[in-house]
Parts: sequence; C-alpha cells; structure tokens
Amino acid sequence: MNSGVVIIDDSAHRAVVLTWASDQQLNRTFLPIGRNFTSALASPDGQTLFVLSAGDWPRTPDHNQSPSLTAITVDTNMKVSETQFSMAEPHSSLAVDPNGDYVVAFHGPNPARAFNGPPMPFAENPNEIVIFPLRGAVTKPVSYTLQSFGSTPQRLTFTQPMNLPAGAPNAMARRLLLVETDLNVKILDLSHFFDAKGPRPEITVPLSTGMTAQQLAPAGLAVDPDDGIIAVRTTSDTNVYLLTLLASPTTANDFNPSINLADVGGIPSDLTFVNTDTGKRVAALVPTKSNAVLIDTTTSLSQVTETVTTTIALPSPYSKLSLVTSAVASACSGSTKADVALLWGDSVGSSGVALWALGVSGCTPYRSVQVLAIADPVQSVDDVPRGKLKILEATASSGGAFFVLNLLDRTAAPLLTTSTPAISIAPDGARVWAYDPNNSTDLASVDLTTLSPIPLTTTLPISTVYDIAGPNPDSKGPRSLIAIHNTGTLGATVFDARNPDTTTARIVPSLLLEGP
Amino acid sequence: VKPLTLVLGLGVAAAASPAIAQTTPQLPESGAPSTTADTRTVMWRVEMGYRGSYLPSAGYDPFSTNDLLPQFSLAATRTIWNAEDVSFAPGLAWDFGSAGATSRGDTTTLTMNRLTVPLEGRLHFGQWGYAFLRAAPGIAAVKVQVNDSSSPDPLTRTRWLFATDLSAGYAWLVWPKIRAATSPRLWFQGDGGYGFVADDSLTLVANSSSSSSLRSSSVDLGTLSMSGGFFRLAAALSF
Repeated sequence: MNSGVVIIDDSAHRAVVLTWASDQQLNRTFLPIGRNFTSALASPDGQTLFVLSAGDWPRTPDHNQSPSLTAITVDTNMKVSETQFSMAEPHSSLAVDPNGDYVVAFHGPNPARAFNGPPMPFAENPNEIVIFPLRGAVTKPVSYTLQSFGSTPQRLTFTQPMNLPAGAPNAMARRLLLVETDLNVKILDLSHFFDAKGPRPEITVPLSTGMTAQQLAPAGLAVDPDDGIIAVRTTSDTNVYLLTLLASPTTANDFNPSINLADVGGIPSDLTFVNTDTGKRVAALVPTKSNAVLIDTTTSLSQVTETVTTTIALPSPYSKLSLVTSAVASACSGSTKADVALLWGDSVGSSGVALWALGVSGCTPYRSVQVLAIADPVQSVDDVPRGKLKILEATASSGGAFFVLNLLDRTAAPLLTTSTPAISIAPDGARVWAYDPNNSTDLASVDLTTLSPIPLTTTLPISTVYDIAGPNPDSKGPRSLIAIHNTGTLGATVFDARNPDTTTARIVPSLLLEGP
Repeated sequence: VKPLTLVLGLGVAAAASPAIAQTTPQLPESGAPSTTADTRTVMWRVEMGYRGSYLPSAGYDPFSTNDLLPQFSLAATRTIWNAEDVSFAPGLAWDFGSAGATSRGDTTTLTMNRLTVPLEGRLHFGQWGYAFLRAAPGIAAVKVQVNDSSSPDPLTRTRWLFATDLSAGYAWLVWPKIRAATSPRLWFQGDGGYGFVADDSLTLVANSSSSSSLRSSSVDLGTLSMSGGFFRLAAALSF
C-alpha cells in the first residue's frame, strides 16, 4: 500500500499494519480479520487492501464465523481503519475495480491452493460471485450465480464507463463486469446490478469460429469504452473476436453483442485498442509471425461481416505491448492523436524493446517502429509513476541487470547487479530499489534522476521491500523503505527512503510478537 | 534491639533465679529442669524448599504454558522476641525460579530472583511445632529473554521490582521433639499466600553486545505481572 505494509497473521486472525514513524521506527496497528485467510489484493490506488477469509468450517457453536471480506484502509494521514462484510460461502479469489466502486469475490482458477485453512465444504458453487459495492447507497453485497455451460470464472475485468448501446442515440454511460471463463466470456451490467428488482442477467458469449463445435478459452481482452466494443483473444485460435454491444430492445439487457471475427494469421499474444492516424484500431501482436496486426473496428460497428486488417512486420517476435502515449507525447508537441506503443517480449528469439508509433508524427517521421537494442528478452516492463521512465526486467538467463528506459530520450540504461535482482519501484517515482530475494542481504537504491546507485546492506536476508509514504505523501514528505526479513516472527530493516544510509537504518524485530 | 535484650534478659533471669525455676512448674517433657530458653521457640532457623507460584498474567503467557513458576526457596530467620507461646522472627529469604516456553516459534526464558525480609509471627504448640504468619517485603529481579531469529541478538529486559509476600503456614517439628535436645532440630513446613510484584512493561531490546552495526527497535510485549498465589513446601533446621 502507499502508506503502509500489511502483514497477514493468519494464526492470530489479524492483520498487522506497519506505517511510517520518525527516526526509522514503525507504527504497528493490529486489526482483526476473519478466520482462515484465503487471499488478499490491494486496490490500484494503494489505499485499501481487501482480505478474504473463509471463516470456520465446519461451524460449531464455539467456532461459527462466517466467510468474510475485510477492507483495510490506510489514508494519506496514515489513519488505519477497517470494514468487514460477511458472505454466505467462502471464496478464494478477488477482483478489485480500478475506479474503486466494486470488489468481487469469486471461486477463482486455483481454489484448492488458495484455500489453505479448514477442510472444504462438501458442495460448492464455483460460478457464484459476490459483488461488494464500495460507494453509493447500497452497502450490502449481492451474490449472483453465473449461468454455466460447464465453465467456471477465471479472470474478471471492470470496464470504464461505456456508452451503451453502442451507436444508439439513447446510449448511457454504464460499467460492465467482463468475466472470462475457461469456455466463454460473460458480460454483466454493473450499473443495473443493484437494482431493486434484481440484477439483469449476464450475457454469455461463446467463443467459436462456427466452423467446428470446439469452444475456445479466452486468453485476454481489451475494451473500447467510447465505441462499446470488446476485443477478445483466445488461447488457441488465430481470430480476434470483436463484440460490439449494439442496441437490443427486446432482451433483458438493452444491448446485445454483435460478433465479428478478424483473423490475424497466428495466435495473438496481446492486444489493445489504439488510436492511429487513420482512426481507432485493435492492435494485436502475433509473435509467431513477428508481426502486429491492426484491425479496423469500424467494420464491426457497421456490422460488416468482413473486418479489415493491416499487418505490420516487426523486427523481433514481441509478445506484449502497452501504450506509452502520454509519456512520449509531451516531447512531441506537434504530434497527432496517434498512440505510441511499447513492445517487448519474453519469448525465445525476442530481444529488447521497441517503440511503435501508430501515426506519422513530428517525432517519428521516417519509421513506425524504433528498436532499443537490449541483448536479452525483457521479462516485464514496470511503470514508473509520474515519469517518462520504465524499468525493464530482463529474463533470468541474462542475470544481473535491469534497465531504465527513458521514453523521451529513447535510451535504455543498464544497471548491473551481482545477481539476478528483484525490483521495487517507489510509488513517488523517484527511485527504484533492487535486491536479491534469494537469501541475500544486498540492497541498492537507484535515484531515477541521476541513475546513481547507493549500495546498502542489512543484517538479515531480505525477502521483499516496500517504499512507503509518511506524512504529506504528495509533497517532499518523509518516506521509509521497509525491507522485510522472513525469519522468526518476521523482522524488518527500515531505511530513510530519501536518504538511505546504513548508519541511520534501524532493525525492527519480532513484528508478529507484539499486540493482542 | 529491645526484643533481643528482652529475650536475653529472660534467659539470664532464668539462670540466675533457680528458686523461681523450682517453684514454677515449667518442666520439659523429659522432666529435666529448664535452664535455657526453649530452642523450639527461640532459635536460629534455616529453611530450604520448593515454591510454586501461579501467575495468571497474560504477560507471563509467552514464558509459560501453564502459568506456573517453580522456584527454589531459601530463608534464614532468628527469633528475636517471644512471650508465652508467641514469638517473632525476622530473617532474610531468597527465591529463585525460571520458566521457559516457545512463543510462535521463538524460545523464551524468564528468570526471577526475589530477595525479601521475612517478618514472621509464630504461635507455638510445643513439640507439635508452630503456626506462623509471614510478611516478606523485598525486591525481585526479573529478567526475560526472547530468542527470535528476526533479531540479530536476543531480546532482553531486566528490572528490579518491589515485591512483597503475605502467607500463612505451619511448621511441624520432626525431630527431636524434646525441649532439652541440644542437637539441631528438623522441621517440615508448608505455607501458602499471595506474592505481590510490581507490574512491569515488557519492552524488550536487543542485547547491546551485538555484532550488528544497525540500531534496533524495542519490542513491546505488553505488561508483565509476576503477582499471584503461591505455596511453599520446605524443610528446615533450627538450632
């Protein structure tokens, strides 16, 4: 979290919240959580942690706690609070709305592993989801069973407000919950979920080419909220499924998806909606062909059965992309509204990253793909908040390095480490922390302005680190780096994050020994 | 000083006034005339035994699985005043005990040294021994230690605390029972009561003899109260 670290102490049925204190001390707050913790997930804004607990099973007069969701909040004044909601059935997975309106508890893809508490109930409904409203007049969670055709939910996506039905004059902004199961995609209208007469039924979209009876498993999706289009890729099909949510006055929902298929020539590994200088497109990466495909979504809007695609050859089999338009645009005062995408890949044969300009702008007048050479495949690209930087983590085979990608200068500065590092980026975007989580005491702080590393060390091996804010998190207020030592009853070494120095650091031992 | 003077004075008076002794029917069980104070009443006394304390404080839980603290008990007293069947004997006592447990995987130990001044009032029953009431103000040194691998050094705390015992019991004269015996006497005794020790906050810090160069925060384990009921079984020698 932005201003705290939460340790789940399941054996004591509590959460230990660590917050900043002066002179590298830590304040500790102890909050009760439900028995038998199953999973936890932080909200994207870093202010709330949602904790799922299974409760007691079997329930007895002395141990009769229901399954529950606990929301632990650490606000910008470092005030710690919690809210608890009860559920009828235990669930092991969470999805948190990035806008902060909803949280959904659901069965999840690996319930047995997450559910490490008491024995499982004899019968469960894996298609039940529980939606918790976090804002508005409704405060009680609502359980809902998704229609199943032999499928169970795998991933949940909250859309931004979409104008639905697409293209209709009476279109209204509403939010959808998109549920990817192992066989289809389900669309649930969240804006009408808490209606007095009950939720509107979800729409199930089976994924099939129509040529065979085989149903396909969705592998990811992208949403265009402006035009009411959902693009879905699958694990084994070369088609991208475009679902346009058109008006449907005769159905329970006032929209219904119109499905168009766009063959991209290979199984797409990633996709997103992009703005090009010729309009909005779906950009899909096909690493097996080392190319990208732009799909014209206007054809699906006009309900033309054939979609128009444009194939762009790429210099490397990139498998992932993300938009970096806002970071790059400030340097391109004369740029069009076209997006710039960052391409990378962790697959064999891919290397480095590339910036893919989706329009002809003043910045890139001569080519659309600019490669930044890095010898090894890039495993992940981490965002640096409030900056024009990205941190590139290379795959383990390259070992001992990570890169600071400057999107303005189009440079990728390597930072060498003696072993494969784990990376933690400060939420204020000022520094990155590198450490070795494999029984090592080595730690380094890298100032992202100067790229100057400060080597540090701790007494005990580091398992993970967190850079948390103190008072006045938006200004130049103090921050602490908490290096967690997963030994004994958990300890930490606390550094002044802005001026890290072992002479001022402090060991805070026995984090789980204190408290009620 | 005055009670001792009184006791000695009584002894001297008894030795210097055989006529009074002859006319007073204070014969020992052997029938021999008494020429000195009854050493079943006026005596030096050293006792040694077992003391068990029940400490219900939650602060004691990390150090014990059963709330009990076993202790070795040693005390020495001297009768400094007596009249009829009543006597008063102050002294010095030392109790030592330790406990240990495992708290969340950490080994914990607690040791306590208690130094008190027992002030004992006795009601004697001749060869059957005596009953007593004891108040024992003093101090207790409590040392706790937690060995947690998340701390480079053991977490410890040592404090001297005000302590007082209040108890009642009975001392049974085992042998020899006769008044005229000159050999040391053996006693068995038992008492029970309440031991009070001032509360202390369990704020533990890492041992400063550490090889670690980093500063360390304290660990607050709440409040420790070593107060609680106790019993004591002891054997004693008097002379």
